[in-house]
Amino acid sequence: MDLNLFNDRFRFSGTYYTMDNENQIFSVPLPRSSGYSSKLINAGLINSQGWEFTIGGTPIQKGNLTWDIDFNFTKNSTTVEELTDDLDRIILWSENAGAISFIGDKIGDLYSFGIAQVQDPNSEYYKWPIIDGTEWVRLNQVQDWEKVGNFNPDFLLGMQTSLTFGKFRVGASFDWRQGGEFISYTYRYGESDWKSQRQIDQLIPGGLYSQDELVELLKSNPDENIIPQVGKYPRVGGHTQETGGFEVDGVYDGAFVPGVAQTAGEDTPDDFSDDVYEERLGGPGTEIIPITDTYPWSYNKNITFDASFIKLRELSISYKLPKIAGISNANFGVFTRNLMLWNAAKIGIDSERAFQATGGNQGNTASQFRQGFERQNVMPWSASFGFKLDFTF
Amino acid sequence: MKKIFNKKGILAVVLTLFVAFGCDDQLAEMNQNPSAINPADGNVNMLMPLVLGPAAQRYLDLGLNNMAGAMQQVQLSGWAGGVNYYGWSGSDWTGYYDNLRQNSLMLKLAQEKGLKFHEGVGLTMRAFLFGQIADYWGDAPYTWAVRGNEGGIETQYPVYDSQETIYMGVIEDLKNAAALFATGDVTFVQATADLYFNGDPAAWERFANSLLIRYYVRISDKKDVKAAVESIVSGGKFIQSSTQDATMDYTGGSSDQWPLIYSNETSSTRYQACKTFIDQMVSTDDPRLNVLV
Repeated sequence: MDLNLFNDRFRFSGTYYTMDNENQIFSVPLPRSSGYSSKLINAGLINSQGWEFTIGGTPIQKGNLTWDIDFNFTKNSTTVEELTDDLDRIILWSENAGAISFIGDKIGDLYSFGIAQVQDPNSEYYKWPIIDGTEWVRLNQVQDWEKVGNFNPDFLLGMQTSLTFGKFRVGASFDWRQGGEFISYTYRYGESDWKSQRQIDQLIPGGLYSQDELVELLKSNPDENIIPQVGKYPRVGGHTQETGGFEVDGVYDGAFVPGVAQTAGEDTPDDFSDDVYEERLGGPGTEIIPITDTYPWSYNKNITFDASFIKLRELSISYKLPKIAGISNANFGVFTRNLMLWNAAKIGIDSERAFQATGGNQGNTASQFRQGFERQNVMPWSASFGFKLDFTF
Repeated sequence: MKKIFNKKGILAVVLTLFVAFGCDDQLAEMNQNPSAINPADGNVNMLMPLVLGPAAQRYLDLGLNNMAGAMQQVQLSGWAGGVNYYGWSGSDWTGYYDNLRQNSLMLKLAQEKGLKFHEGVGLTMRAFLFGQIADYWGDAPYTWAVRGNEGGIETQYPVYDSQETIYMGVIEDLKNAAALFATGDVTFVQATADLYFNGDPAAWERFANSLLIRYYVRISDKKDVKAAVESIVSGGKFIQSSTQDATMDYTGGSSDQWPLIYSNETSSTRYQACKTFIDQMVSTDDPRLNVLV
């Protein structure tokens, strides 16, 4: 639908679309005893739908002052409707689980290996992670994977605006991406070596408290201090005695991952009455290990971040030069790009760079590209600055 | 006006051509790469090293990694879980079945062309590889295995056969192989392609018979194999000295190197001889110590 009203001072166009894509080409794995690793099949029904709007206007047009502003809005979502008997999910890439879309779900869903948590809603430890030895119990089976996000945005909004005053013109262009997540392997590798301030800030300096104080502190806010959340995970301890490290073999660099140890009863899915939980909050039974060994290496959950951003893509000022000997429309301008980037994740990584080009086909697609996956793709971004001179003869 | 009509006419003709010839059963033909070698034209002498090389390398590897840790000859100084502490995870048979796929093509071509030596090698290697699969995993796909290219659900998702079926098949293959080698036929044999015995059918016959003895012994608790073993032994055609061993020399290929070669500071240098082993050698003043350490 297109609308232009009031002498073009209000502009609108809108599109709604829904698109069915049948018979995608998928690579389906075969048992290796067949002698082959996979076969290509035609299958599936994938539906995309979305909205696109552009709204613009000229709110001010008075004498030689003009202000133009335009927005464009896009929202798209793609759903896997049908696959075949051989295939109940599309794997876009795999890495500690990965980007997988099950039938009925959206393209772009991101998964982490699961963390065993207390399932009994009546237990005081409901949702607490279950600790085996020094770490969470990892759930590798597909049905236990945990969805931690989706790499596609909820919507994208672009804004272009310009203000013309006589011969001067000031223009700016913004992009806003709202929603969606990305997984940062730069953080996975860096943080396993303690190279981020964020982790140190999140650390609970357990050694500074008495045992009772510590238990009280941890229990005062389990969501914050005990239960792993997307983008963060609790650890108690420190690197030195002053910063709250526990003693391990005479050195105060000990830490532990809080949770409960579980002694499971009968395997009854809905009856937890015979399961016994024992706190692992620094008291007896808690194993203290050097803090460098406490990183949850095999999960995506702790390194999943919000991918929303607002960018000031371009800012320019131009001046219309007077007509000289046959040259009309001469313009002199100064412009700068990428002047401002505001990132929801605040981890120093541009979520627009959350992709990785790889050498081989990913999952059961023909793509060699991982979306929503950032690994050492952190080139410093350049804010360019330039002059521009335009002529028309 | 006439001109425009002509343009439309041409368009119509082109469209008709597209509709008529755009998509028919020539598609499969068109997808064949004329520059590539058709599997049916494969040269058995070229295929043989692809079967023999990986099979020997994988067999060697058994003596190095987790198995060697279990035998307490080596320890690793880092990433040591599997070797030092038996922290083993599942080990799959991908390499064996990939190897068997190569072998089945060689065997098929040899049978079609009536090449007795190559057929014997194919049967011996099929027995050697399936024998290992049955040794390590027990029941496994056999009858329907490595036929995924034939299409159909049976071949793409092969069912498991019992270990007994596999062992009986292995024994049958080895018997047939020994008989083929016994003919001494060396048609089309290229010595350099045979990485084990330089194209010597007598050596292959000994190898096949020795494997036959191994697998008769393997099933001897369940079946009476006395007569069969005795007949091989009385024939004398089996490996009797280390000079007759099935061995593969270095081929000079880039990936063909001793697996413990020093390549970077964190790889092979992790392998250490374990203390028990060294102590024993030191106490007996074993001259092999200098070679090993």
